Amino acid sequence: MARLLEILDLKTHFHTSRGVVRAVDGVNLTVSKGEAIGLVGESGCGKTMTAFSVMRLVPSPGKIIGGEIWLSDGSVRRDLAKIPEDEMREVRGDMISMVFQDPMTYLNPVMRIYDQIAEAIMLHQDVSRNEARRKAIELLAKVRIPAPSTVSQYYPHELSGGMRQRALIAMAISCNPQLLIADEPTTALDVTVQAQVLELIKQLKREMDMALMLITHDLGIVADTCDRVSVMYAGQIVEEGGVYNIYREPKHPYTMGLLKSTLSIDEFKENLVTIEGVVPDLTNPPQGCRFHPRCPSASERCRKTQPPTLEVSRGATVSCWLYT
Amino acid sequence: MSKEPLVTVKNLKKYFPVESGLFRRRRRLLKAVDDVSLGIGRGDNLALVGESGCGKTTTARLILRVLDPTSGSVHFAGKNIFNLSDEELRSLRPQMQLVCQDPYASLNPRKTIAQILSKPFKLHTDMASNEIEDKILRLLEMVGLSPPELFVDRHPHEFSGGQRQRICIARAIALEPPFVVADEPVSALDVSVRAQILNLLKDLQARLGITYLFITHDLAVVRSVSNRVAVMYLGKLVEIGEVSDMFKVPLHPYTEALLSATPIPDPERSRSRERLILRGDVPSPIDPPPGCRFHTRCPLVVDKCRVSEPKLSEVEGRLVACHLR
Repeated sequence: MARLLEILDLKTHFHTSRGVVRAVDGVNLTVSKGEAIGLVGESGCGKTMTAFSVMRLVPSPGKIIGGEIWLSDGSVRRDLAKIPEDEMREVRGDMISMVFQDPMTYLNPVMRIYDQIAEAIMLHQDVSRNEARRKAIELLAKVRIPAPSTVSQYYPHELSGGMRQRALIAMAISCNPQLLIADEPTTALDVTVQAQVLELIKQLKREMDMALMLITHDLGIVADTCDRVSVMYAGQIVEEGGVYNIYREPKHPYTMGLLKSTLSIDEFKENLVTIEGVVPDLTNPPQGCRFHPRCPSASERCRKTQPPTLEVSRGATVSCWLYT
Repeated sequence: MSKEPLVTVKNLKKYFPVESGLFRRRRRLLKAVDDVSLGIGRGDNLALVGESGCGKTTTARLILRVLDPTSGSVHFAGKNIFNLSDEELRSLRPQMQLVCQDPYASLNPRKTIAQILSKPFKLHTDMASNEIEDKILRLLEMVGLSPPELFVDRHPHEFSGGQRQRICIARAIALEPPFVVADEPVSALDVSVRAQILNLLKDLQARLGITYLFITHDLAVVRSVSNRVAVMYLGKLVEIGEVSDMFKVPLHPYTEALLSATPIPDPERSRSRERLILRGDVPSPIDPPPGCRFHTRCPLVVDKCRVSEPKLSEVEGRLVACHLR
């Protein structure tokens, strides 16, 4: 498959009074055209900041301090980490768009839904306001909002959480993006509504042939939605591979721990497996492998030297000394 | 496991008036809990599940008598807790405790851990301060914070979410209550820490014989932690039974929908199952739908559901409120 997005050694750091927070610290990630990739990890592992870096929306005092983010559009390849802001503005929303965890924060509370969507359309396409509004209503129908022409005139507070997320998705897909980044899109929603929204995202991805980067802490959602999985820990990707392989045969001790400690409705576990310890402080990450203080198989080498990223099978990599 | 119930809830109702319109002249009722009856046996871990706004937290607050009901009763160890004198109520308090969802909001940031944990002893016992100190050290060890000497003189902000939740649990079990309500105790925690806290709760149940009311929206947690489960929808119970039976064969369509909407962390099992995806959102608990409250979203709805309300009745050893069963 053709590569759409290629992130190489990305570093996004935050200079704070407590020191430098290495939120993203050497991330490598590839997304092919039309593929669904899951970026999983616990809170504070840098998954959201990786997405924000791709969108060039890293909040202050954060900064991309190194690495490349290559986006392919036909024969044109651009490094999003380097292009000027006005060029980035053309990419954002048009080539790549994003939906967020909390839709209310990202919708303008004093603007009608269709005007917000029309605004996004008019930014990237040469259409009149009326034409853009008409398209907005079509988009609302596309995200399965009932009675779209009525709902389109509502303000965000008149919509339920699930409807708001649908409206945000409508806005995100308004310019047929090549890549949709969804950052915990269903975490704020109830479970029955979560199932609806995930089903919608899967359908849209198929219909529009767009790639999906799904950021989540929920391994259940990834199992159902994604083709490939990247597992992040303390600012780095520790394992990557096809979804079936990762769940069947996780290689990295962190991935193993995550999978074992995850509970499921179809399995009773008497003693729950845990990962001992806590996520490290990213101002002062551990020497060597960042997971070594919590790793059951840590050796002397893990404490001293950072493990290399090894290809264990085609398209599957792991950063762990156990496999050298 | 369910012998004589420790807690018996009968026809419990809690309505909140909602004022709206010009000069707040329109008064309507939000029926948060509407005729709920259930029993919690000694040693049970009863999960109360449902989506946000279904009334599960309100039910728990009524059972703890933090709220007064509109009508109905709650018997705790044989006594109706709504008919107690102030003195009796005071002696009831240490027997029922609460662990909250947000360990950041439920610990006073200005107090040290020792001060926080000494409070229950000071309020309800006449122990000397050196005895209390001993107790606190033992409590901290019991909840997995060791060596305890390292924790006592520090403040909550110095701890992670998981550690804070352990402190909240230590406070709840300080006086060895027979009954603990855990309201979404792991929802704010990361996956790897979540399992630690759930193990701790299970372990304490085995050691101290605690009866739990476990409130959660996460059915995956229920499967491994609880033995019985009650499903709520819009202020009403729709199904109560043993976890192992209900997860195998849900009888109420809403229970089935909840199970089917819960993701399974395994691509093969997740993609091969048939899923029941509901349409629409949960309706407002103000003026809920007539008849069966679930009828607006139910895939199996028949005419009867729109007009008459199904009662909880026994089907295959559990209680279900559905006309079709």
